[in-house]
Amino acid sequence: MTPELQALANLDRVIHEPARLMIMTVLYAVTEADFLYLQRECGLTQGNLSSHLAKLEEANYVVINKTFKGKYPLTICSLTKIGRQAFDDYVRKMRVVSSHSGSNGHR
Amino acid sequence: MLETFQAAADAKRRSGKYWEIDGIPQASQGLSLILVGQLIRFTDWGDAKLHAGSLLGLAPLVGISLWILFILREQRFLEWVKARVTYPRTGYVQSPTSPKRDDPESPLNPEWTPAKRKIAMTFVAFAFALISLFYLAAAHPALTYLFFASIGLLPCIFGGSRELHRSRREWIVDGGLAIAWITGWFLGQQGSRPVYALNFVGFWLLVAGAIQLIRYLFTNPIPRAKQ
Repeated sequence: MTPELQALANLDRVIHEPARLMIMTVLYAVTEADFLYLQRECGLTQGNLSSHLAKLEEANYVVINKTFKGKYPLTICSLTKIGRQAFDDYVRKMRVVSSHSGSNGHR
Repeated sequence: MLETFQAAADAKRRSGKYWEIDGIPQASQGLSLILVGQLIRFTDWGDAKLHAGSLLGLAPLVGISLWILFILREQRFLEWVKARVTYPRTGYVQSPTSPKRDDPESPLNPEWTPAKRKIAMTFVAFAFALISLFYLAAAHPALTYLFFASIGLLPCIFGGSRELHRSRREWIVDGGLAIAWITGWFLGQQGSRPVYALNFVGFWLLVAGAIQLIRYLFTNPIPRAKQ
C-alpha cells in the first residue's frame, strides 16, 4: 500500500461524513454560529443537524452552548481547538492525496 | 479537494457579509449621518463667526463627541434589534471579520474594525468637506468641489468594501452614495454644503437599508418549528 493510499485509510471518519464535513467547514470559517444559521448554510433538517452535531460534540470537535439573546434562544456552536486541528489535519491529508492523484485537484 | 478550500472561503465570506444581510446596520449608519448633518445645521458650524467667543461655539464639539459615542455604542443597539429581527429568522453567526457579540469593550478591541472604519470614513469625508468649504471656495467652485468630493468619497467606498466579492446591490448602494454626496454638495449653498451632502448620503443609506430590510423580512419569515 502506498503512503498516499495509507493516508486515505487513516482519514478521520468523524469529519469525512459529508454532512459533518459541511458543518466542520462552516464552523472552521467562522468564530461561532447558531443552530439555525448552520441549518440554513448546510441545508440539513433539524434532526439531522442535531445528530451530527452530537457526534461532533462527542468527538470533542465542537462545543455547544445554549444561551439567550433577549427572548430568543441561541444554540451556539463553535469548533474546539482539537476540532480545528482535526479539520486542518483532514484537509492536509486530502491535499496530499489530491496532489498525488495526477490532477493536482484541477479540472 | 479544492472544493473544500473554496467552500471554507465562501463560508467565511458569507459570514463576513451576514452582519449586513438585513439592512439594519446600513439604515443605522444613514440615520447617524442625518443626525450629524442636522447637528451641524442647527449649530451653524458653517458660519464660524456666529458663535465666536461664546460657549455655543463648543456645541459642535460636544455634538460630535456625543455622535462618536453613539457610533461606539451602536453595536449593542444593533445587537438588540437583530436579536428580535434577524436571529429568529436566519440565525446568528460571528465572523472573524464582523463585530463581536455583546462585547462592551469591543471599541477598544483591535478587531473591532467596523466602528473604527466608520469613524475614519466620516472624518475623511468631513475633512474634505471642510477643506473644500474654507480653502477652495475661492477657486473654481464646480470642478474643485466635484474633484475633491469624489476623492473624499473614495476611502468611504473602498473602506466600506471588505473584499472584492461584491454584489450588484453593493455597487448600486456605493454608486448611489457617490451621487448623493455630489448632488447634496452642489444643491447646498456655500455654508451648508456639508450638511446637504451628509443628509443626502444619510438619506440614501437609510432608504437602501430600509429596502433591504423589507426584502429580508419578506424572504425570511420566522420558522414555525422550534429547535
